Amino acid sequence: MTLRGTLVLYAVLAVLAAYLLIVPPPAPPPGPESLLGVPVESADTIEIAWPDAAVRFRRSDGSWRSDAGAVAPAAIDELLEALAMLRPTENLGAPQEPADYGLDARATRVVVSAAGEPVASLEVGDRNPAWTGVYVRRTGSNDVVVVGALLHWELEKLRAVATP
Amino acid sequence: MIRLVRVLVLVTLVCAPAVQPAVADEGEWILDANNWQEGKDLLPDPVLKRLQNGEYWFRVVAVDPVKFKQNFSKKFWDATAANAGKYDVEPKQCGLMDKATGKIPEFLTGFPFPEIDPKDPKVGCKIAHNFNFANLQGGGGGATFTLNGVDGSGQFRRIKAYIHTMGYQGRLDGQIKDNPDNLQAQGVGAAIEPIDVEGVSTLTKRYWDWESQDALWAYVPSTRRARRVNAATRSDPVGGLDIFADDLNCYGGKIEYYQWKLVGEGKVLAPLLQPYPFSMSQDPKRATRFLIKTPYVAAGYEKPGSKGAPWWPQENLVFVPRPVWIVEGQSSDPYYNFGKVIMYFDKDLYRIYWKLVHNRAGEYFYTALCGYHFIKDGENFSASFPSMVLGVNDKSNRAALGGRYQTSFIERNWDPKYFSIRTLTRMTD
Repeated sequence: MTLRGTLVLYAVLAVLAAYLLIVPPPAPPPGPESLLGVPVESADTIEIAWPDAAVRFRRSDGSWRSDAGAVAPAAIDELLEALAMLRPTENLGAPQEPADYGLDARATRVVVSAAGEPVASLEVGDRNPAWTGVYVRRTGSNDVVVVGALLHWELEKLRAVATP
Repeated sequence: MIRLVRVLVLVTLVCAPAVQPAVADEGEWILDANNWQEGKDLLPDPVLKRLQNGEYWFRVVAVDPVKFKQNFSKKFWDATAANAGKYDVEPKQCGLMDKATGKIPEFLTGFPFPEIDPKDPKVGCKIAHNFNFANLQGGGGGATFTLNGVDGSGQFRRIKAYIHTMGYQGRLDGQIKDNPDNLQAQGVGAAIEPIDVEGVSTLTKRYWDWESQDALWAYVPSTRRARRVNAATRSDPVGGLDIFADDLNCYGGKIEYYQWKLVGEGKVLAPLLQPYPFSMSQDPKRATRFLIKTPYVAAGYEKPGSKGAPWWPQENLVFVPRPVWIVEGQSSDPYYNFGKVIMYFDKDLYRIYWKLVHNRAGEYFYTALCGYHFIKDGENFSASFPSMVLGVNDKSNRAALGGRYQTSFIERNWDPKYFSIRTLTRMTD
């Protein structure tokens, strides 16, 4: 290798290093948004309607209370954390028969609001055949998506402690 | 592959008579697809679903709760009673703390928390510590066992391995004063068959403090090197099978690795080789070693024409209705593969009988059945052994059976030098 060749290699190296430093890396492709879409702390109302029971909790002064004033169970925060973490794993499109996915009168309806505006409004249907996920439809969309069955667990947990 | 050895357990076989599921004795009944509704409040959902489908069935045996508690020796319960009010958990990592010193206790045996208050904000962590000390009471031992991968068409892989463990904490035999590394426990495991994994071995050391991760070394004969590996590998599949090192006792990690939360209570069917303890006999070759013989739990793939899924136990396993705490655990380690894990802890003996596992994306994918047996020698010694694990991956509809050993031993005076990298490197010499 001649001195000239070595200098050329150093120059190429310098250009490459400058490229890495100056040009920002490409952003990763956007993944599906979480079910909540806003920070957990901003949520101040949660309404959940199962086919045979309904509850509503509001947050004031940092703690959740039911409409009747009872202190909300810790499961409320865990449900919110799950909604903030869960992202659709699959989009099944708009089905001809939503009832095939449990998205009819049997569905559980969840509405989370922040400052008086709904930030998440969901219908939660059946679990998929392997029970790894549940079918969910967001209000305003006809698409059915699959999200992790953790959502089912959190809703059942809350139902056990929050409904008579 | 390397971690396969860290998985299981101990004990022996006896030629116990095969169970005939169609014939139930008094106090016993069969739960199957015909009466699956009776299992609604006794089984986790994914298990109930397979019961309903006819894939699983259960020989249910009722027990006297007072007698069942006596599966642990009087010495254990006396120590538990003496621990009342002495311990708490520190807030940062839920480490066990001596109230008198504010530090980790020097040594204890029995349950650290005899009374569990469900309203206590730290209750999940206290339940987990009780679980750990139930495991530790026997002090140490070993067994040779198999891991069997099973799918819808039968067994697709079999690995034979052994594990030897030595405990420093929780021993009913008392404290081992010579503990220069400040260990809670240590263990060696190695694969024996098939030839492609023969000699793959691991050494694990668990430190008796609140912060340290387990130290794990793995040895691969082809490279002749023992290398340190990450403790989070406990959530990796063992040997490509649907079973994990953390399935040992249904939770094989350090208590401080998880955040524990009590979320409910209920009743489940507890899988046991038999409801009451096995005895142990002196090993004629070694004064400090005691042998235990236990029956083999044959699965469907080994019994042509049997009822249910190929991986479902067919004999020598009974199911005892037991009151349980339902506890969620979640690792704080970003390299750990599991998300939220739901576990069912016996309210008296703190055995975890079932666990449901979600992945990091919140998908449920896996259930483990954790079967046990108890060993008792008079009222001064008892031990709880994990007899078997049945891991079922509901996402891939495959399963793995671990344990089901036919011979095992309790060793009451291990040479600590055995638990060394030198043992790993010389294993295949």
